[in-house]
Amino acid sequence: MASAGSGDEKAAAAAMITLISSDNEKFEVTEATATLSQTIRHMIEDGCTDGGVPLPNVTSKILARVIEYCKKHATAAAGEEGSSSSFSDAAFLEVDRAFLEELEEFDDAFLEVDRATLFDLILAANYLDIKGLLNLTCQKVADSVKGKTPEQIREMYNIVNDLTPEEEAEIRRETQWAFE
Amino acid sequence: MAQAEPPLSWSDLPTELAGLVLCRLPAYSDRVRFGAVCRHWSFSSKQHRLPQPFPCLVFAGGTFFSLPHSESFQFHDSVGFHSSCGEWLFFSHDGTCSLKNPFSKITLTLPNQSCVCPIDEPVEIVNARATQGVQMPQTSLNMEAEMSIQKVVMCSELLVAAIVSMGPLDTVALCRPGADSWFVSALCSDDLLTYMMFYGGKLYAINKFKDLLAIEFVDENDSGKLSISKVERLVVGGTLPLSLIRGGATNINHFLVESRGALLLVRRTIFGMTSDSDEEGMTIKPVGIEFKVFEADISSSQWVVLTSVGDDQALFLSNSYSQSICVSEHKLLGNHIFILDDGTSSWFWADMKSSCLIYNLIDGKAYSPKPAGTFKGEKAPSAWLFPL
Repeated sequence: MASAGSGDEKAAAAAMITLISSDNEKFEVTEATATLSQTIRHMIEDGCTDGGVPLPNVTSKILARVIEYCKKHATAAAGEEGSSSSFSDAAFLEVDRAFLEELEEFDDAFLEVDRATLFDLILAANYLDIKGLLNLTCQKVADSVKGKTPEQIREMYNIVNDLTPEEEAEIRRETQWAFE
Repeated sequence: MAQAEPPLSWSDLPTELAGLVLCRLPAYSDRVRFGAVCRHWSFSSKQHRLPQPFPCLVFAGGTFFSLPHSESFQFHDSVGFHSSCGEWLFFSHDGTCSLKNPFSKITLTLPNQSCVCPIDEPVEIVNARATQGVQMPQTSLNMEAEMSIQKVVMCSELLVAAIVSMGPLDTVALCRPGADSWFVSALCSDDLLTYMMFYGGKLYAINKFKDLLAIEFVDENDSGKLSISKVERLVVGGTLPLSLIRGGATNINHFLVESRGALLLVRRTIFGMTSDSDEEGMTIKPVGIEFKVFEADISSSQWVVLTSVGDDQALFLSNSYSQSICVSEHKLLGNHIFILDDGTSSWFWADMKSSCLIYNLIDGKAYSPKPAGTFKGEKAPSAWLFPL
């Protein structure tokens, strides 16, 4: 086990990736963290990450948050792989459950952001192709609009109603019931 | 750099991402209102083939509950329906029949129940029940008897089928919306059809023996006639294992539903204990409910017991129409059966907190939707309505 651990460390130390935000800030992350993004995974596979990965669509503020998410979830993925061999089944399940709960708490806390940040996180998760983060953020939006009227949703997300009176009348004609 | 461009706002949410949000809105009412927020969201909401929303629980008083929440809406023109089929409500008053889609507001007028004509039936009968009097066209069925519609099955906006009673016998009738008369078959009258559905261009029905029949029909465009071309018994029913309660009452209902391409027979058994202490006479108190699901195995002509319908499927059953809904975004509801107070087994629903009951097929437990007390307060029948 000790030798396997040091081997992992060596591999991890060797594989650091530099991500460069739109405002030119550099973030050094492990490959395990970076490859939660399918977009970056493909770049690594194509061998075009030397000198850093420029991410012109992601600001440093958002990239820092995305990396925070990936670090946590990369540990989760590594934990699952490692523990299956070193724990008995019952112990593994126990650890697994505790870790999943911790992960859920992390996700909940992670989503405590303002609407503008949430929007940027969705765009970044989509651009970087991080499935878990995209699911998480889209679910957050879905949960927030449930049971709300269009006017309440506009207020919540700072959206201007740009429907023409004719368009609005047409929508209402078809779905008047949902507005009463 | 990008400073010149105005920052993106939520109204610019890319269409594909709006689709991901919409997929996570199982209630039809939420999707409708999402599409009314701004022009771009309205556009986005029309671009996706979304998983089917949850149905609405609809009461004859015109109240709609858009599941899975308890939010209610009023549909004033839906008061007093007879039953439902898919996204259509069936109305029947003094022989006049119509189907109404409360969402699109389309109404289809059906022929009056008094206008019937027999079908010309040189049909092919495959694997008929041996005890059945096979060829008795028009002799056993009295066309002079009054027809009354039991269940309506919407095949398309151009063709509607129904299980009808002609005097003491039940059979199949077909009609075109807007046409003058119902075409009534004499062939199914011995089978006592109890449930019928439309799937993949054919009608499927079960009879009192729990046989599964496939009924094929022909739309003769030239003559305007409708006729049945083939009746095939796909599954031989008969002895399905039964549960009974000692000294009590059992109420058994069968439903036919398509789920992921398979035809399922669902048997609902309600257990009750009788007591005659009440001054009203004998009363029955419900003490339990059980569901068994069988899948039609066409190759062996048998019903095969299913212990799971899939952890991404929920079955919504009613006396008139049943449907399986994909609930993959809402894992907790997989392998659940939803039933409602459709006007049958009134003793079961009498003291129930809700007019809707959810049954977990895996652990056999039934519970009322939360919060308790919702979906109640209006008279039966209630029905499922499935917006597209």
